[in-house]
Amino acid sequence: MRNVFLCTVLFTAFVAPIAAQTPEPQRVTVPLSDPGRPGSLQVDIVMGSITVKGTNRKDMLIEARGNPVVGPPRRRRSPDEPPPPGLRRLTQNTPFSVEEDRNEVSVDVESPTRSIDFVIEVPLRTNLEVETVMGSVTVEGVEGELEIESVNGEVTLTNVGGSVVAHTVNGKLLATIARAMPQQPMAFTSLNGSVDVTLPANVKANLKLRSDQGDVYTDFDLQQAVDTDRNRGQRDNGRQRDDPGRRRVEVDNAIYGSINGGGPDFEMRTFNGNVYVRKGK
Amino acid sequence: MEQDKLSRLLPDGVDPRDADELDATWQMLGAIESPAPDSERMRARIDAVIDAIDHAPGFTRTTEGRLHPTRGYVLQGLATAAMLVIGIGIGWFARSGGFASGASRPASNDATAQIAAMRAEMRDLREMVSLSLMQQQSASERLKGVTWTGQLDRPSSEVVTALLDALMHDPNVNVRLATIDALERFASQDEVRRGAILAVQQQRSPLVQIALIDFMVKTNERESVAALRRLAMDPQVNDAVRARAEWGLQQLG
Repeated sequence: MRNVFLCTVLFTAFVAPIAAQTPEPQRVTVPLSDPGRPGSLQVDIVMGSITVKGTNRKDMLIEARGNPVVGPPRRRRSPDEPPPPGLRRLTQNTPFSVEEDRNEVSVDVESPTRSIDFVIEVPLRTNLEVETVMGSVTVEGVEGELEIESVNGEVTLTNVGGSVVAHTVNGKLLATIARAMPQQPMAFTSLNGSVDVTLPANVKANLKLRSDQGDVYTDFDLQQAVDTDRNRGQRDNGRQRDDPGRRRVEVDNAIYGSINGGGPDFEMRTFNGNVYVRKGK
Repeated sequence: MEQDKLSRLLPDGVDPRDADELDATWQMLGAIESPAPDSERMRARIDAVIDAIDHAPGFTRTTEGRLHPTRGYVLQGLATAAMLVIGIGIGWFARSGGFASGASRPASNDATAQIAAMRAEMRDLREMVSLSLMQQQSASERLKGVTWTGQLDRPSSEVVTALLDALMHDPNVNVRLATIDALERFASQDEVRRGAILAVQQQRSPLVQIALIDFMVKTNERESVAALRRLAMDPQVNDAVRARAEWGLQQLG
């Protein structure tokens, strides 16, 4: 029988007793089982934005702020809308749970229709797996394996380190990488938004850059591969050769190139928008 | 007496005898023996469903299928150490083979055979490392596993299967996107073409759908026409994807 050390912190915020226009955030501090080892944080929500900040603390501080419930688009109202005459708006509880299991902290929102914004302080070295559907993701000063995803929101990574795998469907992706983990691939992709990545000036990498309906810009000394279609030889399979009447259609407009002598693959790609790869300081 | 009561209660024009007949029918229906719940058979059916879920590729991959990170790192470390030992071994044998070439010929042949065997073993190990990386919990490690397959000399069918599995089930969009690039070199295989057609229909990420449509056009996959037509007509599908599917159909047409 495996001896599982399970430390579970369950937290449910209760109804705030005092009605307020801007609800007070609920806070919970989660200690790590082994603070000497880097922990990991997993947040996967539907409604709301997530901000993660790297700090000097050894535990994690989770701050949640429930947003006023908005109805279907037809009845949508702004959060600042004054209450009906003579009535005051009560703050409803923002139920979420936090669980820690062997340095892995996961945050869950029980009701996917509740919109909650999270601001989470983590130790500087923390691995992240952060995902939201309706909201943005912001990460500041965290170093580790960072896996970030949003559907309808921007992704902003500032002064991060390690390796980044980030994606957003409808939003901008802005990343400033201070230190890259050697030999670790990275990917920054969006469908409808620009991808703007600043890399350390001396980073060794093979870049794959692509914008279907935009342009690609860089100030790096990019050693472009002569044949951008790397696998052309292998790709010419028998079926096509047997069919000489077909014309070949070139759809791969990706730019392949290496910087500082080459290294792991970094992919920057968007469909609608520009790709910027900037040289950091 | 009863009959009188009944005829009074019944609406006009209804024959009390009809009511009797109806009553008899109800009595008969009540007498039909209803099957007692067979707990054993029910249990077997539940077990079968659970079994089916357990064996569904998507389920196992995202839960138990994935190696625990620490176990993965240990495996990776071991593989790296084994590679190092084999590398040193090859170097050593190459040297001793060089010395032996001047002397007896059988010794040289022996060394060459051993080098070949070690090379084969090293190739297997490289493949094993790529495959184990693709099972990691971290998206960055899985991405590494996918890109490493591009460096494999003659990858086995297991690599192709793992890439197709990642294309269908990997939870990370960027990993799925990278598998499409990695699968291009295997585009002549039926399994890969079928997998790509299946994936373009099941995929939820617009960016991956677009990359798959490009893959179809690039590999001139005319069997994908029906799937692309469905995508182009589906109002639930992202506009950019539908436009790309239309474009793909024109190219393949």
